[in-house]
Amino acid sequence: MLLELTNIHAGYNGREILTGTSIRVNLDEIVALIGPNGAGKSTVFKAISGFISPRSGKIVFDGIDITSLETNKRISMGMGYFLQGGAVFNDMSIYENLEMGGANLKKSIFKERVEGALNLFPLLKDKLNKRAGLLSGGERQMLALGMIMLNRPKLLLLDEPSAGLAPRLVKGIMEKIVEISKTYNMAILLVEQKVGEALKIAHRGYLLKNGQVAFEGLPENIKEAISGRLVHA
Amino acid sequence: MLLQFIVNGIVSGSLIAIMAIGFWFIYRATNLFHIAHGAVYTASAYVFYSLYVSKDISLSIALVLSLISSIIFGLVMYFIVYRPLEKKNASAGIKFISSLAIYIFMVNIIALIFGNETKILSEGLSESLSFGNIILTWIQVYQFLSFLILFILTYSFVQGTKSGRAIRAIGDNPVLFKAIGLNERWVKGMVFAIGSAIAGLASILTGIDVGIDPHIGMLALLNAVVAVIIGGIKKIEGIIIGSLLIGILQNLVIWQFSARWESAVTFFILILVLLYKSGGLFVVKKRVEEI
Repeated sequence: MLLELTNIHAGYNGREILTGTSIRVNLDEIVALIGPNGAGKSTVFKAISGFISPRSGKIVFDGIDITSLETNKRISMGMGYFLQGGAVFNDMSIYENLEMGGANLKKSIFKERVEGALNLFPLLKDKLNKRAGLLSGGERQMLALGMIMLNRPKLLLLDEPSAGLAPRLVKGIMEKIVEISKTYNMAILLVEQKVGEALKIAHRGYLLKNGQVAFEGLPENIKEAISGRLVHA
Repeated sequence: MLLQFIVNGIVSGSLIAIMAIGFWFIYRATNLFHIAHGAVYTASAYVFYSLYVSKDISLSIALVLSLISSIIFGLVMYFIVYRPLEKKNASAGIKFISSLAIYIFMVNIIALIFGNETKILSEGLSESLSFGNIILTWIQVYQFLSFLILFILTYSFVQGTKSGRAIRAIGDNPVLFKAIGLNERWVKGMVFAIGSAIAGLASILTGIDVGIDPHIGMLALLNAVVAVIIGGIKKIEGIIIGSLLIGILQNLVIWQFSARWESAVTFFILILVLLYKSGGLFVVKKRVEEI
């Protein structure tokens, strides 16, 4: 098992959002985290990546207890965190963004991986000197993914990678996610508002309600759970 | 006469620019309105006074030790005050009040130890150079050269090095900076060290020329802040132009009216910029989605 959250209680400013969340992600699998707004999906990511500290519970990543570890140490252990909608450094060029993504890599490895990222997202190739803030929504998402991919994380946390994208682009980004997972043997935990698209590519899923896992299972079972038939079963 | 005042303005603008570059480093990376930067400015000048005038240590050693003390002041402020506030997710207002408290505390301590009267850092009149009708003292030449060297170093550092890019990146999107696994504590510590050393340099260069008192830091800081606002926070070139503009206008006002209006003109420019160009004169054009 790559990641295991056990009975996590966490929130902001004294307000508890996660009320005993338990989730696990195995090597090489894509897991969808589904739930209504306010269910705590993004909070799960913040707890995993160390942006917030859980009040109680345990987070184990790659066999190591990381519950009280700082974010940069978690990332260096092999985590990649794609922020909601795909954040980039708007004031910097595409190449400078990639430089920031691979800031901890050796020069030769960085060059090789940038080439890999540009092959994965060829649309960025001719725009390396363009300011990232001028990119379209889809291009920004690609750049954000490309930056994270440079470090070859074992686990990719994807927070709404299709947010703000036109429907025709959503399919493309989902295909890229599958390609990335297969090519680099990468486990993916995916939060997505477009539930149907997320469940199409996921191996398993969790349905989150009021900060707790209401249902866990295969994508087809999750679909049934969402329609209400299995949630209370 | 006009040319002489413009040249004087460029030199005083250089000093404003040095202080503004120091403030910019910290503000760009932390978004923190670091009022206590003025206290670092004052304290560094007094450390220099204690070493160079009171203890009669050589100029170069006193300068180096004073700059080291500036760095220590800055780092202590960050790690003892601001960093714990960041961890508690304190609002910008709380950080601002804390910064003001540090400023008042340090200035009062300095006034208690050294008194409120002006201290002279160099005795007698400085030798001067003539370029046609324009006369410059040697200290003015050093002030301008220091600014020029600092500007070139800062520009090269920010645009051309990994650490410089990290400063721009963390200021651009601090959440993403953290999410890609970069060490924000290291970068913020670095900008406090660099910014504070630059404040120390600005205060010593000014103090050698006109002397020091415990309250010099606030005016220097306000001029620097106005220069940063006029120039726009994103581009260091804009801040330099803002500083030189303030320096030249202040000197023209002194020439035509009175030294009492020197500060008034600074804030008049600030009001105009805020009313008609609120992002600064050299703002980067943005798409609606970025705002």
